[in-house]
Order: sequence, then C-alpha cells, then structure tokens
Amino acid sequence: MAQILVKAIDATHADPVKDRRGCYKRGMPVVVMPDTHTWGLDERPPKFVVLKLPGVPVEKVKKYIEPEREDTADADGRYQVFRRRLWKFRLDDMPTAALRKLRDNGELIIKVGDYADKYDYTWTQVRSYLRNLKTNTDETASL
Amino acid sequence: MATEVIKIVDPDNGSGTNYTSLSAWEAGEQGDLTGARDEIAVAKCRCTGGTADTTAVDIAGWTTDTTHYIKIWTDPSESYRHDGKWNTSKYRITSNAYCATICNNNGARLDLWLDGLQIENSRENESGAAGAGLWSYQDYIFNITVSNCIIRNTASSPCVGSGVTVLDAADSGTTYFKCYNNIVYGFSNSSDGAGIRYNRSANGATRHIICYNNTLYGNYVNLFLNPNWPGSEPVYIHSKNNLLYNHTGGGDFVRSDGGGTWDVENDLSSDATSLDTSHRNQTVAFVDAANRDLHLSSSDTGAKDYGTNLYDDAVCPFQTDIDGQDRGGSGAVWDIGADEVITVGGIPPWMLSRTRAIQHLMVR
Repeated sequence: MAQILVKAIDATHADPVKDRRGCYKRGMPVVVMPDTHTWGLDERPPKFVVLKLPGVPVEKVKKYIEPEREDTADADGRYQVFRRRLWKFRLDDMPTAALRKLRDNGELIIKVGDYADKYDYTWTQVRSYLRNLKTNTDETASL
Repeated sequence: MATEVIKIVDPDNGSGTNYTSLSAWEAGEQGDLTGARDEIAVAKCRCTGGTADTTAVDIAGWTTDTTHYIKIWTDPSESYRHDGKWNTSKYRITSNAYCATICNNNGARLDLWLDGLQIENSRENESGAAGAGLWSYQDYIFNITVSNCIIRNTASSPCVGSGVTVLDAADSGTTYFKCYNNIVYGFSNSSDGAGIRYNRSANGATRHIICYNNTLYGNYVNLFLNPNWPGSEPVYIHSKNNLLYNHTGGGDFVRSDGGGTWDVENDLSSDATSLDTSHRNQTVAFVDAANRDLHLSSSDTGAKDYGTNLYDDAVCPFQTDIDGQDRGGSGAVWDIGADEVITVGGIPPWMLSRTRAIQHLMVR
C-alpha cells in the first residue's frame, strides 16, 4: 500500500561530482510510505509531490529509492554511491494536465492492478516517465 | 550570526510536523548553510504515536562550517527522547541499510551533531555491506559529535559496520570527532564490528578524537581507536570514563599503536585491555544487562564513583548523563559510563516518574 514522496525541485552543489552524488534532483523518489500515511507540512509543493499507488505493497516500490552505486567495489569491497538515486520521474515530460494536477494538488493517484476507485493515470502510463538513470531507459516492469 | 531553522520530524505527523521522516527532512533541507541561508539546520525529532522512522538517511550535498552546522536531535524538554534504554515509544530510526542507518556521504566538509537519538541497523551479514549505525567516511575535514544516543544492532549475524564508524581520510585542516554519553551494543561481526570505531587513513590533517563516558557493551571490539597511520601531523586522543564491557571476541579496547598524544583516564574494561591498568578486569553491576538496560545498578562497585569529573574538561566539557541527569559540577564524583547513579531515598531517578525526577534535580 504505497505512496512515493518525490522531490519536485533541484538541490544543487557547485562541484559537479558532489552535485551528482549528493543532491536530489527534481523527479527523484525520496521515501516510500504506506497508503495510510499522512504527510507533513513541508512534504508538498513546491518541495515535493506524492505519487499514490493504492493497494501496492511498500516493498514492491522500495527499489525506486535506492541510490545508483559505482560498478566496481572500493578497497573494502563496498559499492559507493555514484548518484543520489538510480531512478527519476521525468516530471517535466509528463502531460500538461498531470503537471497541473501535481502543482495544484501535490499528488497523482495511479491505478495499479485491479484497483477500482478514482485515479488519475495508470501505472502503465506513469512508468514510461520513470527513467533508470544508469541504463537511460524507462521502466517497463509491472507492479 | 547563523539562525537556527528548526523543522519537526515526526513519523506520526503530529501537530506542527514538517517532515514525517528524517530522510525527507534531509532531502528537503539539503544545501549550502554558509551562504545566503546563514543557517543552523535543526531536525527536532518527535514520535507522537510510537511509530518508528524506518527510512535510512544519507547526509550528502551539504555545505557546512563550524557555525553553520546540522543538528539532529530529540529535545529533552519534550517527551520523545529515550530514557537510557531502547524504548519503542520514543523517537527511533531503524533500518537494514547497506551502508548505515545514518550515513555521512557528503563528500565535503561536514559539521554534524547527533543528540539523543535511538539508531538501529538490522542488516544481515553480506559481502560489501557495512550495516552500521552511523557511518562516516570522509576525505575532508569534519566536525562530528554524537552524544546521548543509543545505537544497536539487531541482526542475527551483523555486517562489518560498527555502531559509530569514522574513517578519517582528511588530508588537510583539523578534524574533530566527539562521542560522549552513548550506549552502543550488538555490533558483533568478528571482522570489523565495534561499538565505536575510529580509523585514520590519510596524512595531512590535525585530528582530535574525544570519547567520554560511553557504555559500549557486547560488541566484537567495544572501543577501537586507530589514529596512527604513518604521518607526522598531530593526533590527540582523549578517552575517559568509557565503560567497555563484555566484548564478543576482539577485546574491550583495541588500538593499532601508541603514536599520537593520548590523554586517557578511568576507562574501564571487563578484560585486561583498558589503557588504565587500575580499571582492568572489572565487574560492573547493571540494572538488567540481559535486556540491555545498561543503567548502572545502585549497588555497583566497579564503575560507580570511579569516573573523572569532566565538567571543566578542556576539550569537551559537559555535566549530564544519557538520561539528562546532573552528574554534578566542579568537584563532584562522577561514574564511569553513560549513566550516572543518583539515588533519592534509595531509588535511582530513572525509576521515578518524570515529574518526580525533575523535582529531584531541582532539589539537587
């Protein structure tokens, strides 16, 4: 039963390496919470938006908040962070109506599986805007 | 002068909550505190309904300095701080994160103070994973303070990380690592597990390592200090009043060699490894060690009243214990470890109600 909190504005650092490794960019998922979760005062536009996936277990979407790690391990056998997040929603490429809804309501409701209540878009529609930054391809997996 | 910007972090989203996880706070507030923001970024953590914060947090992308720092804490004047024993109704951050539940990944100078938190890592042993409580690998100078925290590992087979792991690879400037009044247990991996682990891995910086009044219990090594990588820069190690007990194989205290300037007083060990020979092979009575209530028993004769008074300490003065109780000012006799035994009519204050304990402190 998941909701994804997504960063809606860029954080920046003057050093490009620190910027890539450390800074959240617009569209990067930050945390995943259950359907029942209510968000705090700052977890909304302009800093954040929420994508709601009613009925989807949190564990199924936790992979979207993993960082992108280096391909090779360091001397201690550890894979250091290469980029703050591996996945990023291409928010600016979404349809204007979706962007307007995110701006005005701060959230989109995404239909997954046999969810039968009100929704804005389907997962099949939204996942095509969810980019794997390592492979530079959009998500094709079902939830 | 920098302004404290306080944001409330509460997984239960009580009144006035800004963020419902520390991870979201970090994402929402990260940036340059030294420039136009001129800010001390404060996360005041609450737990109004007993829910744990279950998302690990990486601290990265920040610009800080001595007066523009990050402070993550529970305010002891509120009711969300632990009471010296792991408490599932108080604020706690728990995860099975690969690196650490709280990880310094800043890749730049970091000025950070963690105070009064409960931090847990439960990742099962896995090649490459650290599974630490706090992990800081720094190529840059830093100023990190960890105080009044309970840090534990609950994996059945822990990873190699420690409760507090500091790998200091700064090659210029001055670093400060202060750790006082903490309780750390369960980091028992037989390779690198430790309660507190400090490891220097570069030359060029002046370093200050300060470990005071920590209770480190049941870790593979309880206190591991390795400040002496080849190099001529000054290294100052201050280790006092630490209670190092029941290591699981590596020793209560381990250091690589004796280089640097060591300032050691009244570190107690249950084996023969304390640098203070008069406090080796000691037996300490805890309230309920089996259930990790590591408050000192009022009947203890090993640690009680054997500490050094650090009220006027030159590098890290303080006066309270992990419960916020007054250890006494100049001239008072302190206990070794994170807890100070203060009895009122034979009853230690942590057994009293909150109101009663405050009354006691006022009388004292």
